[in-house]
Amino acid sequence: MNEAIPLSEVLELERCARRDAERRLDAANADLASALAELQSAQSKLVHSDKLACIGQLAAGVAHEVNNPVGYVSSNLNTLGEYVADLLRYINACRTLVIDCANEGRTIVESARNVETLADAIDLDNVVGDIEALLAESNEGLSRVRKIVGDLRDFAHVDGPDLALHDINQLIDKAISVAWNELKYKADIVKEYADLPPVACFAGRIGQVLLNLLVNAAQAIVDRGEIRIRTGQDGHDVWVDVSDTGCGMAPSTIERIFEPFFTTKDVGQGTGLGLHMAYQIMRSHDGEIRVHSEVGMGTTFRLQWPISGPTEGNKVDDDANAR
Amino acid sequence: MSTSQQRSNRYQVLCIDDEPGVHQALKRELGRLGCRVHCAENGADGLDILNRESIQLLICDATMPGMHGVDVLMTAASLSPNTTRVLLTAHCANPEVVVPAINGARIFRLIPKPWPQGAIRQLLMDVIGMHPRKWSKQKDRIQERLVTDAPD
Ligand SMILES: Nc1ncnc2c1ncn2[C@@H]1O[C@H](COP(=O)(O)OP(=O)(O)OP(=O)(O)O)[C@@H](O)[C@H]1O
Ligand SMILES: [Mg+2]
Repeated sequence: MNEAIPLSEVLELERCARRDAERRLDAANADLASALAELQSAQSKLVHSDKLACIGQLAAGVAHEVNNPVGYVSSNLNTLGEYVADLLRYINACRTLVIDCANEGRTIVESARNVETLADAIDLDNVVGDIEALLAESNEGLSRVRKIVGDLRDFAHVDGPDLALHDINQLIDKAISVAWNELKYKADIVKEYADLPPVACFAGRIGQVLLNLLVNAAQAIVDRGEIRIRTGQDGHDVWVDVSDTGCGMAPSTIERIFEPFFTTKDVGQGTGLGLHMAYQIMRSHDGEIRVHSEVGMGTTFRLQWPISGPTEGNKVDDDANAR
Repeated sequence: MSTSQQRSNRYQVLCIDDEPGVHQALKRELGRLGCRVHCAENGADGLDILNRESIQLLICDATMPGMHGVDVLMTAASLSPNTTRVLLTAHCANPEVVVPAINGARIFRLIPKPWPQGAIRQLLMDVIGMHPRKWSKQKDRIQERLVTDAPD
């Protein structure tokens, strides 16, 4: 026969059990919170390393892009040095002639002949005629170098935690400039920009998304094709379309492109993080990324987010990621 | 004798590069050394010129729209075997470019971009040195420039 357990004891047992459960719940909560923090920090590192990888990959291209103008500008400067040496010799000969004229000595004719011979030897007409073109081309080469280095710096520069207003069309142009070495042999770039108001965004991140879309588009094109970039405004939103005439994607691929590490590219070519990051970054802007693609026809990605930028909550979220 | 052969008493160089700035710079450097310089922005146009003119020296870029430079050089090797072939590229450290250029297209020289001062003149001296009698006038011209450009 069972002895009846006194009520007080039952209550005490139940209190103990509840305290125990509460303790365990607290511990589980703490675990969850720390796991979340770890995930968040891992995620932010991922965003950062993807950006660095992307920029690293492009920096090699940029270096190459810079070698051409640096090549011809240095060659031109060396030629200019030779021109200057020739011109100085010519000027000296002319001065001798002028002095001889002033002195009205018998050497005038001989000096004049010297000047003429020298003009022939140094190809004076050509030197004089070429100097302006040489300087103009060298200047053009140097501004190309300056521009591409500046654009790359803007991109590599980690933007602060603050949202800022940006000219999206200009941001796209910078992305094109940084990716130019990947694009120029693959595609004709067609721009259809709308007049846009200043748009609130984290420029470095939107830039990163644009870079990845451009590089993806170029890599999807086998021989040569077209990449078309359109911008527009839809109510309170801004949108950017990046379309290519590349290989396109099957529905089974489209389903997976936003998964982290999903890639169809060779080892070393792609990490499969680009579109995953694009998805995260668009979410942090209260926006979205959509895709339309057909095998053999091409692909269009659309970015869309509020012109006024993300709301406070996302901004805080984004701050956490930036750390 | 065709007109192009009559004109060929000047040393003729063909530069294939998609950068007009490179054309102009090479025209200046080689023009001052007495060469006649032809330029093309892509492989197909360049090979056309190679077919038409009697070209002694071909200087070719690697990455260009259309045909890759190494393929252009390989085609040039069979099209005009007596033309000396040179690869001018920023990809000098890339074996995928360099190995087929040397073994396949059998280039005479590999010149980096940006090219060092004096590299083009040295190249010309060396290719002319292979046929010193045929291009003796050209050689004199270079010697002349060497004397006048030497720092006093
Ligand atoms: N424009 C496109 N056309 C065709 N397929 C595409 C296009 N953009 C992306 N994809 C497909 O989506 C996959 C994932 O793209 P994602 O940008 O995330 O990674 P990745 O380009 O492979 O690598 P990473 O961007 O890290 O270098 C690609 O491997 C490719 O199969
Ligand atoms: Mg990608």
